Amino acid sequence: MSHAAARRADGAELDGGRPAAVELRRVSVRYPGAPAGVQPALADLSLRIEAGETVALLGPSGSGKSTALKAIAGFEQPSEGTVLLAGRDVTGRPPAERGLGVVVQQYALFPHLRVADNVAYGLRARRLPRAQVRARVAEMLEMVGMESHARKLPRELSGGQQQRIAIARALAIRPDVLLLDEPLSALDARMRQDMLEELVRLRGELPDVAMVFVTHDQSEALALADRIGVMRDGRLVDLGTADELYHHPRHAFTASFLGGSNLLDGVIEPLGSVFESGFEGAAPVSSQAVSSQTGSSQTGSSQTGPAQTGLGRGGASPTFRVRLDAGGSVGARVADPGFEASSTGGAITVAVRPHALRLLPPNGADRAVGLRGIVQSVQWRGAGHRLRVALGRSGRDAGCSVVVDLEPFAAVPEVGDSITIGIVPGEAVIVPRDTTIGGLRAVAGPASAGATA
Amino acid sequence: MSAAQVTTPAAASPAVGRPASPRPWRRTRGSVRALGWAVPPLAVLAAIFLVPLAETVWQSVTDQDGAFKGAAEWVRVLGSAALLRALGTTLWIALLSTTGCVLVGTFLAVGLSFVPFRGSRLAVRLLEAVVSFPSFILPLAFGILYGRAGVLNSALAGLPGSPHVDFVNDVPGVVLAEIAYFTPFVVRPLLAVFGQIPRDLLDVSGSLGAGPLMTLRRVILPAARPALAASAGLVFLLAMNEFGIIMFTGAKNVVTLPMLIYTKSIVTFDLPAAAVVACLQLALSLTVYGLYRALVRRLSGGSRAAA
Repeated sequence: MSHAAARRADGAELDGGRPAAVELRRVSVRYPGAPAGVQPALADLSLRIEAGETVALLGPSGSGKSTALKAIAGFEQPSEGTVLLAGRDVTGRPPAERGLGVVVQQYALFPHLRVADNVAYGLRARRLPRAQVRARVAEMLEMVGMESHARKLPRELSGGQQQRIAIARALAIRPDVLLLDEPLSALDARMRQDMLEELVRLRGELPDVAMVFVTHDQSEALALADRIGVMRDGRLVDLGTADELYHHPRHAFTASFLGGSNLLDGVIEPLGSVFESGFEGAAPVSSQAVSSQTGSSQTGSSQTGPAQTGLGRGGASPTFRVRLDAGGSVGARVADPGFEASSTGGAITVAVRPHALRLLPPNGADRAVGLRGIVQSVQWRGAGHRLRVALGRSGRDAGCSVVVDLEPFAAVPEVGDSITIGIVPGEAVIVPRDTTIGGLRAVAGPASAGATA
Repeated sequence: MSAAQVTTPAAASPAVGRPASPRPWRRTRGSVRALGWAVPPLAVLAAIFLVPLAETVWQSVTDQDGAFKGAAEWVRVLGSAALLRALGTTLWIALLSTTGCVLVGTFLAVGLSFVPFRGSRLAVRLLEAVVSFPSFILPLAFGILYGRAGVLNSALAGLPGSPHVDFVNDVPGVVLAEIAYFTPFVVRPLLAVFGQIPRDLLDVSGSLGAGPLMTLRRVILPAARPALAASAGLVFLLAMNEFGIIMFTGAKNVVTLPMLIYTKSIVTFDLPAAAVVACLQLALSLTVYGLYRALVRRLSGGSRAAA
């Protein structure tokens, strides 16, 4: 996390009122000709990004993340709201007057200009003296390790090299803000990993530059961003540090999109169902805290309202006992401090990541307390196996299935096997039920597919 | 067994490594069939194109009675001042028209592509419709509007001093009419090219601080260079051979090669001289066409590689 993000992870203004590098105030973008009543491309987005901070806008296609970036760059005119750069209102100003560095998905190098001329483009637009342009171009090319390619045309470069040039060109004008619109999406997997490391290195070399990074790939966001904004249907669903969003997702969509959580609907059990272990049937090694499904009330402390303990992840989050619609019950912690179980009528969703689900031994003592299901598919993923498991004894209820990532060297069941699944204690998180993400619900497969959509 | 001993009959035969060739009779039959398909179009081509061309060349080396005269007529015509003047006028008008078309066409295409306004599609359709007009319509309209007895001069006659405009029946009138008629040949390909320029290029250019003019000069026009060169070559070729516009402009002083051929063949019945000028015009056209093709090949090859 950069120093700027360490200063403020919540977006509040610090530094004695020093303006943010980028600030969006209730910005909406509605494309001309879009029928009334249609969801705007970007709706009511408010966001502050400090100098030196990297914010990733993460979301599936059509979520509005690129539109947000274009609104900052001036490529799209907001229909409502205000865009401020370093405290200056630039809402109606053209891109040329904003002084931002922009790297787009396909790099957009000028095909007829040589590498050096591409990098010099912005400097020449600013009518800098030739000697200054030459020196700055050399400096930028050296920074991205492309000094030996200065005389080449873009078509003579690989995708990764073109990307380096696009970054050098954007940084040549010494912008205070660098906007990156899916800069790695056009690269193959290996190149993407290399360039991600390169971007992390560059990030370190530019401590005062604010970066806004648009991606649909959660791993890029987790690796690069100080804060992540999760977007969906043109709206900012969640905003927080990678750790916050990953371990304490406040919304079902965030849990599903960032880490591909399984979403299991359930109901918070009424008074008297207090327990303290976090979950029953949690680990294949039965020595871990496992309480019985039926006799889980071990502390016996009664409360008014839903059952709750203080033993969530790290012991800080309130933990509730949840009866799942798919059968069984789990102890799940609440990630959002503002969450009020009573406001949901008890109906909530439990988010569990695939790696937090474990197979319970077939004849073990924990078998009685886990989630039962039938293996629908087994997928080898190199480091381990991924199972899709239809919950229920018969497995016929295909609408309710979960994805399980097996630990390395774990025994791999076969398709059609009846298995019992437990949840690692503290890994189940309560999020408000969101019926609008039915496609992701209780099926982590689509959720993780959504992460790469 | 040693490697040298491993010799099969197939390996020893001279046909080793070659694919099995089709049977000779089948190949012959295929060739005959192909020839059968080729002959009719070749015959039509010869009848409507090659024979008249050959006849024109023949006319240029014979006298009025059809007797062979060798290069005598060529020497006479090529040495005449009228031919040199016509050649100069032809090239000059073609150059002016091409320049005008490129300037006006680029301006229109840029406006239609990058300056959104209501009715731009209709404007494009109207421009395209001009190509479907007979070329002489425009000079006729120019004459009615701006000719010596045209609408504009009639209106001006009522003003003090009776000012008048008089350009239609001379080179400017011809050039203007040709610009009006041939500009769509520049606009259409440019619109196609401009439509393919990625929006990202323009956005990034703007974000780097370039204004619209710099973006036009450094991004848009370089991308359009092949199309621009191709359409300029085409317009030059068409303008060089244009007859209807000059004829209907009524510009007596404007004698281009096509007009000279017309005068020699229809007015003075000097068919051998007309044939010589026609051959010259043909050679000129083929030369320009060759240059045009070479230019298009070179530029489009470069831009394809760049894409």
